[in-house]
Amino acid sequence: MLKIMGRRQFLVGGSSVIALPWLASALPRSARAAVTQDSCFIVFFSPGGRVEERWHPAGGETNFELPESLAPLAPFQNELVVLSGLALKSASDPRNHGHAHSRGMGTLLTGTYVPYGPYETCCNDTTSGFAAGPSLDQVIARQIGQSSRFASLELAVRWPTDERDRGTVAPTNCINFSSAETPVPCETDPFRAYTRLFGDLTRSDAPGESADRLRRRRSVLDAVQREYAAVGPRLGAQDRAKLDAHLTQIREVELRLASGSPGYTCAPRHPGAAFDHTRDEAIPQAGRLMMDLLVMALECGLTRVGTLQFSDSQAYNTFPWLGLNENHHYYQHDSGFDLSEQLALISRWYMGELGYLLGRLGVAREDGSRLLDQTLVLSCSELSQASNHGQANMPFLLAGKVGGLKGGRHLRYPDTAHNDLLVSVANAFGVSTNTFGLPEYSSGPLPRLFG
Amino acid sequence: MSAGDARGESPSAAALTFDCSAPTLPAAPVRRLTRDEYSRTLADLLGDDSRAGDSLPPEERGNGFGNDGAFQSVSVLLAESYARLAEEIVARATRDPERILGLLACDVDAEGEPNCLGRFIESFGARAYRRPLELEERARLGRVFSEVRSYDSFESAFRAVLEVMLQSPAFLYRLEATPPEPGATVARLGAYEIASRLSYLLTGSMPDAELLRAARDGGLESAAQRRAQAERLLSQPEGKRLVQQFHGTLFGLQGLPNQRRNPTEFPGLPDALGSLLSEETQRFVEDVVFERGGDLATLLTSSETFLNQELAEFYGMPGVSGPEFRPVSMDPERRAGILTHGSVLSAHTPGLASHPVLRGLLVRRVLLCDPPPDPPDGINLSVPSEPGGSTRERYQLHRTSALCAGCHQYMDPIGFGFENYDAVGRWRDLDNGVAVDASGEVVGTDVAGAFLGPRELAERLAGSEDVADCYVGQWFAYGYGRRATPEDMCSRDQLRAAFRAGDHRVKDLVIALTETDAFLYRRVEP
Repeated sequence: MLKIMGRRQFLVGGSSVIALPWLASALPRSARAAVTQDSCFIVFFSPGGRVEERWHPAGGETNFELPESLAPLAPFQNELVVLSGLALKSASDPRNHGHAHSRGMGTLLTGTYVPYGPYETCCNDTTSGFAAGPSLDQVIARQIGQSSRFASLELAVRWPTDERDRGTVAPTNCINFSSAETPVPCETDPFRAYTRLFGDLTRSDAPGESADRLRRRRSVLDAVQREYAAVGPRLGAQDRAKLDAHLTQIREVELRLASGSPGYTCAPRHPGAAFDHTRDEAIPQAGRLMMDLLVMALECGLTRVGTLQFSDSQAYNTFPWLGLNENHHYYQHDSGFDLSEQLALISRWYMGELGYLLGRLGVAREDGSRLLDQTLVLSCSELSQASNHGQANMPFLLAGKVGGLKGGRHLRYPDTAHNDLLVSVANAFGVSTNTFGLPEYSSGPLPRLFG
Repeated sequence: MSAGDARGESPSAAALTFDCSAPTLPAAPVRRLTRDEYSRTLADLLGDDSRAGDSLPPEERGNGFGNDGAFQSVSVLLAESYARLAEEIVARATRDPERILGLLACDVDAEGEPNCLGRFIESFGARAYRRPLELEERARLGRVFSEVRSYDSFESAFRAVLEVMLQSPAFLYRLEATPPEPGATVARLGAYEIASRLSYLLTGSMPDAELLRAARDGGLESAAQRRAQAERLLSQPEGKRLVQQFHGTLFGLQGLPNQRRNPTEFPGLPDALGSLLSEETQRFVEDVVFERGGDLATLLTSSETFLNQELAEFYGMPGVSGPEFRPVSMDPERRAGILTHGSVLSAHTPGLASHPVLRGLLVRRVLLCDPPPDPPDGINLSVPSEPGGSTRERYQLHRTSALCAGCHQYMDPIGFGFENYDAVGRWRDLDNGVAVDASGEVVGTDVAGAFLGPRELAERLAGSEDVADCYVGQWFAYGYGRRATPEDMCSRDQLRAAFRAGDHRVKDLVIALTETDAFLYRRVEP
């Protein structure tokens, strides 16, 4: 393990970086408070819905047992709020185009609809665009993430799974949108993600060398920007807009450089020996690596908003470690037959991985505080019932303590648009609004959800 | 799913007519190099064989081939990736003094840094930007050199110039800015722009030295000159690879090498079955299109293929030994064209049993360009699972329920024609103990009617004008990186005519792609 001392470490002085158990922060108490008083938001996405009677609890609001699919979350029951009854109503708005899977993806975090566009969405000539508005994570990132090195982080484990398309960004696999029709692609390689996040922190350069490298990178990016600025005037309006958008992103990269060495200390654990993370067999290993990276990025203060997509809504990945050798979509409905047993196994496995994430967030630091207590995790899927592409009674689940969330509850909001959940969560992060997405589906925050 | 409705003409468009005597075409957006093009371009430009583009964020699906310029977005991840890759690629290309000298081709000590650098920018830049650099461009690149040189070594400043080039819009985008005649809204492309279009269409990479020379010397002015270049490029290995790649994408074979079958349900299959099947089809396509000068009908009906021992045993063909692939004549009653290849059958059959819905959908979508609509919301797609019986029996509900039959009549009856093939594409006479019934039916289109078995279906499709038009549309989408619009009608007609005139020879169609208005002109946007 590499030990890194950042600026703040030197400022507060003294305390040494010790070889820490995984994730425990290297920060001395006083400095850590400054980093960790801020709240974080995580979206945990797993596709294909759930098997209704095996996922939604029976019983009272606080007096309930976790059913089969949620059983792996038992250690965290008191940190969880299980939600029943919410529906993706805006996904059935008549303005929508495209297939139920992509409409689910587009509306899940935006509460908007999926407009007409050129993208094939499933099996035929139904095409669509991308969601008609920004997603919750991006809205929250604009609220709380602007001073982070990464305003938000989008990670995916096995994505996209539709290899017949040679891996493309499509309405069937994106849930994060910075604005209308603008998907945010995911980082899918855990090793690349590590380098992207921690590369600049962990290189063992001679003193001064990193400042030189920074200066040189800035020279190069300045020059690249001049190239984009020079070519624009010679193009038509549309092409010019496209290159301007590219230029904007290069500026963003340079701004990140300008923020210089990050003002924190932390001891990232290297992901270890490389392995082929693109194989279905590697999903469990790659998934945990991605979750480790995400938690580490939050703990190190690199970002405050993250999305982890286990797969996309095509879900063409298999689950050999569960003895399931056909792909998820096949079990959902491509087989044409009822395969609830297999679907329940998959759902339960995903909830187990959510449990892993919560466990990581719940590791107590030296002072007894936990990242989980300053985090809100939203677990979601683009469908409720796979057999009929259902989008009523969606399997939403919250965990953490942001906004005074009180766990150990099962709340029912029968036939309520999920826009109100998006409103509630946005409110919890200080975004003041009474609607999210399409206003006609918003009636304000969900009652009794946050304290 | 892969390439879909490539006809791309809305019904109302049929009522429109265009005067094809002057170039008519829609505004087409600037295209960024795809990941594959980026990798190949860097291999040609700097000898970088790392397939660098594979680590870029994935492309938008767009026209179904992942090369649709209209829908290439830029994320901060992409910009960051380009910056990172430029550093890595340049570091590799200049990792020792010999390499730097090789690139510079200039003695810095004798001639001085400014001279050497100026010449390098001019000569290397013309390859990186695929056209000679303008004065201001050279000055800007010189400026970044001086800037970095003011605080760092010559090597570092030299690398900085290369890094800027590899992130410049002139490298990453296929910019086309030759102005039109005064007052015109359609511009004829300049010679270097034509060279790039030819090269990326036919080889998936930057123009080679001969093509750049032709652009410089007026060697792309006449139709005959362009055609000669197009034929030269298409006959190269890269051209052949591109034709294979088109068909692989069209028939949805990209994921095949990763497809795995449950060994307890399918004992004795070759370990690398997906890769072997994929190899068979690639060899078949190359042979039909290039060796036999074949037409679309041959692709759809030929029983001549390529197998090695493992694959021959899989197909139950005796007399092939060793790991090398060699030509094999299959039983024409059992194998007729690409649709009956194990690759295509297996790629569209997940699970344990044959899948008439997905197989029928494939034909409908890819060859007839006439897919049925998505299943309506709220319909339960899972018919009750009943073990036993033939596949045909198990899908009975799709016929007997009016709710299902509305759409499934367009898919299942085509798929039933493939019932002699099991999930992985092996021939069978019995399905779950029941004699196979391979009778099928196509509803609608010019191949409408009942048929018996895959050969009859293949022959029907091979003679269809609808299929030929659809195939032209698929090449249009792939070749031009966009879907055809009504304004492309003249170019579409040119392509159709060329395809027909060449007796539906695939090669002629690909060459014809370089002769349309859509290829030679661009609409100038305000």
